[in-house]
Amino acid sequence: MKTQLFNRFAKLILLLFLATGMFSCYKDRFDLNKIEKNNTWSPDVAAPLVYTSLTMKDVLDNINQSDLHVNDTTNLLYLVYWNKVYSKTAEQLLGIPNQNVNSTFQFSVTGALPFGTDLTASPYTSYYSFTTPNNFTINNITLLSGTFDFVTNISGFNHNATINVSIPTATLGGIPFSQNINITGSSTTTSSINLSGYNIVFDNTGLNHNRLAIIYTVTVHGQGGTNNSPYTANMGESFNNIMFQDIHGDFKQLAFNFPGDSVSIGLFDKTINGTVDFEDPRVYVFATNSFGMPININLNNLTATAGISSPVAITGVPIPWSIAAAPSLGDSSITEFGLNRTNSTIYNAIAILPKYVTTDITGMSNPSGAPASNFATALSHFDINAQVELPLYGKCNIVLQDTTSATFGTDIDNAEYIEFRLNTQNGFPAQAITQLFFVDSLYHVLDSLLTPEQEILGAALAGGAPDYRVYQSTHALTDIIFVKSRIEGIKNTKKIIIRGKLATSQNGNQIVKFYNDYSLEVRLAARVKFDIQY
Amino acid sequence: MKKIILQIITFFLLLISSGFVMAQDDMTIYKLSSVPQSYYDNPALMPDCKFHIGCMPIVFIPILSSNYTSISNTGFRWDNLMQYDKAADSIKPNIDKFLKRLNKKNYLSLNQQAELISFGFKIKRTQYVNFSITEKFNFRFTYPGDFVRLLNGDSQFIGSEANLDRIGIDMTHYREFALGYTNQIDNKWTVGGRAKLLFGLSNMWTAKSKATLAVDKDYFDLTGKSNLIVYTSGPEKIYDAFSNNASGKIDMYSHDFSEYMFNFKNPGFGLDLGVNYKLDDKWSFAASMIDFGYIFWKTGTRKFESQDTSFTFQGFDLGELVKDSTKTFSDLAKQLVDSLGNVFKITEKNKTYASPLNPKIYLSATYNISKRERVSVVFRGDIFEGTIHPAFSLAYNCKFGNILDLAVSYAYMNRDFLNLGFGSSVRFGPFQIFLSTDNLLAAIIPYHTKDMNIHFGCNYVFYYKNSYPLMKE
Repeated sequence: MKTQLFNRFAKLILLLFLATGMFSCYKDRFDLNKIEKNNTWSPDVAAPLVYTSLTMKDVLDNINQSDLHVNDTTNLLYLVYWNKVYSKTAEQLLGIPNQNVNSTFQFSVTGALPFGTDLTASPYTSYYSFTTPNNFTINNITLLSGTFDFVTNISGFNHNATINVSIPTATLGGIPFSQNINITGSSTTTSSINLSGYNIVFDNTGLNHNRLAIIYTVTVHGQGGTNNSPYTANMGESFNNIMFQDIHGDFKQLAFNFPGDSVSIGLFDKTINGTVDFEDPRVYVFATNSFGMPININLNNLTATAGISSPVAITGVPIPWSIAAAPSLGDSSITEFGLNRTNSTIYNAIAILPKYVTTDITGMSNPSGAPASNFATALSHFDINAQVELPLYGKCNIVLQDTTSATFGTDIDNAEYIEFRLNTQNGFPAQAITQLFFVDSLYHVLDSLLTPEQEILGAALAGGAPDYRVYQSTHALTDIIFVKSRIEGIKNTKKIIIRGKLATSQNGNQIVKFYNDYSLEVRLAARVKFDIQY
Repeated sequence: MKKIILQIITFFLLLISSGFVMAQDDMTIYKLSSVPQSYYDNPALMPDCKFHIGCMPIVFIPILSSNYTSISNTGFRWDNLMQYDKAADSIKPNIDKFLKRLNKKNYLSLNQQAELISFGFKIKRTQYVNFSITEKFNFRFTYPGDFVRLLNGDSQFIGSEANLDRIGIDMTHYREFALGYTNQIDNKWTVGGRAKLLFGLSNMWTAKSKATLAVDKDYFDLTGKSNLIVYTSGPEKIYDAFSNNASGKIDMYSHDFSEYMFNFKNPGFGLDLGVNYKLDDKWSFAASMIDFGYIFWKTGTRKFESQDTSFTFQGFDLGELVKDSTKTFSDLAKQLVDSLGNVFKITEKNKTYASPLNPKIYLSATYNISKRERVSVVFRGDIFEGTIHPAFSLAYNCKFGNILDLAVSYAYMNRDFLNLGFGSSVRFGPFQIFLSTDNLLAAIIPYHTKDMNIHFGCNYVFYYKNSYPLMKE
């Protein structure tokens, strides 16, 4: 019985050890000291990178923030480029120079001059004609600022005196100008009288021109000396820093000349070649005149200029261009003319993708030459503003290019391959073929994104005239794969040149319109497989 | 009879093929009836002795009579992760192989049970009464296979989604007071039950965890969805340590531990029921359900919840950079982080709750070869996450006189066929020592196993019966 039990037990134990023993030789597998070095971990990661949904307004805002884009009641988009071509202020046109009068006169008093005796000489009137630019005529002027300055002495004078200066036609609040200058003996006296606010009426009767009468009356204060009359007074007077508040007169024929100003067309700044047809381009020129004088302007050689094509003259400009006077003091007149496809060559001019519209300006005021009654204020100005208006209506096939800085550094060392996935949902009736060139610091091309060029943005499908509305957007999915060798090749990239060929539907042959509600959705994602050593 | 056996075999095969397996163990001791603690898996299976008292060896006091520890990982073995290169005598990570081994849901489990007091006795050989106090700690980390597969990047999910459902932790520390009663109704039927009064000490229960990460086929857009509810109960000092601007250092002193260990404010109940049917002198069948019950958590409770929400990342909005030239990618990244924080915001509330125990069911069939030898088939199903997670074992038991009772078993569990179990009890007079494990190989080749468990202890047993109960006896 015991033997039987022992045998049974021994069999059981043997069975257990046989079963377990076969695995015991693997214990080295658990030795953590034997873990190999330089293993590779290859995660494969996919993630969206950037997305955007851009309207045409967003895109154009990015081209040039200062440009305006307006849409009319139909939501059609316009590009508007505006520039102040010419500007003249009242100070520039009618600035009155300093006037040096320098009157000298003799005066006499009769009788002894004991101490405390006052004797008054006969008044002396000095007439002075103001000089003006182009010899224009001033009928009256209200001064914003200015001084009447004196450097006075009476030679050999052995008494004291008071000289009263009066200008009957210069009034302030209805009171004529009257000021005293005190003289001590033969010493020189300097004084300055503020003329701000004075209204001065000039004498232009007969042969007089801008003439002003200044009356001097000398009162001698006896100092007990002898009376050596006649004495000679040197007034040394001048009008300085005259600024008018308003001015009336005949401003004659003032010249307006300005060579070669321009309006920048920002849309085509990055253009390198191509064709574009804006179906309805327009140029508007505005003159704002707050002078009380009519002006004739000639816009000579109005020309559209591009870097790669011959300039195109823009016709249809009125010659001369008559600009009305401001209707009243403080008011202004606005005179404008417009050029469009029917009255000028503007269509052909825009077709060359101009970067600038240039012109030479000449002209004159009071073009008839007849005596005129003009006026101006300190704030009067004459401006010419030009506006190029391009409704986004037409067709184009152009190439755009830009360069941006880019450095990958060592971040991509661990990447085995990179797959860029570009999804576009294009609501614009324009297709784009884009290429990115990876270049080093010397602009040597290291690689290009697409080989060969691929159409990334397919044009949305648009209807016919007159609205040319998009009725179906298009979707495009583009995969761009960079294998290890290509990744190595672009490691030294310093800049990326982005070149895009943009064409309206049917390779630039279909007329389209761009509306404010069109949008372009661009979504870029990447899938990267890493090989990370650890 | 053959038909019954075939049906049983078919049932087991179907369960295995379903793939729903998880960390369950302590199968070998189930039929080691010489050990009174085998009774815990089926209260209808009376132990072989008439009276027992659990005790430490030498110190004749009824404490620490049974200790059980298991750790298991259903996802992978060590050598799935580390591949042995025989030529170079080295090991190297094999991430691809490791990831292939992962199932949809995987479990890392740790279970610890320490019996503080245990005794039992028979009345008139047909009834049995048992009482025990046991300290129990269960921990389970559920990690979806896709969650780990994300280590290899998300490209594998392009056009589909990574399923991260059920990710979370379930942990319970509680004390169990159990009173069992078994009644042999007649020669064929025996029924039994154990009523358990429970006192929870700490808990973390992931009541809801739904999460996915989808990668769009065309745009690679990443869409995350999440709905999470986690309940916790524990000492306030733990919350304080991890609250805003706290150091994360838990300062607990002896009185805190004392307060923790003698916390009787989280009551619960549990119920075990079992039945044993003896067909004839050779065959018997048994069934039981264990740990059906709840613990009602009232102290130091929190409810952490994130609403059912989703977030799609389409990439950084380049339009914002176009429209506002002062913005940078850093600003956009910060916006993204803020958005994620707002979308997946987790709210915290004080809220009492009831967490379920982890119920189990056992089904077994036993064939007595002789009075001292028998074979048995045992099915065990753990019930959690609304699913039965099955395992089964085939065991051979043999008694060697009054001294030695041996069992060897083979089990399929933790999605692993390599589980060779061994159990034995040895008596020296009334003093009994027992040891059992479902995976003996774990001690020899731990890198090639998914499960390690050991159940050992000692008892004083009296009026021990050295044979299996055949009908004719």
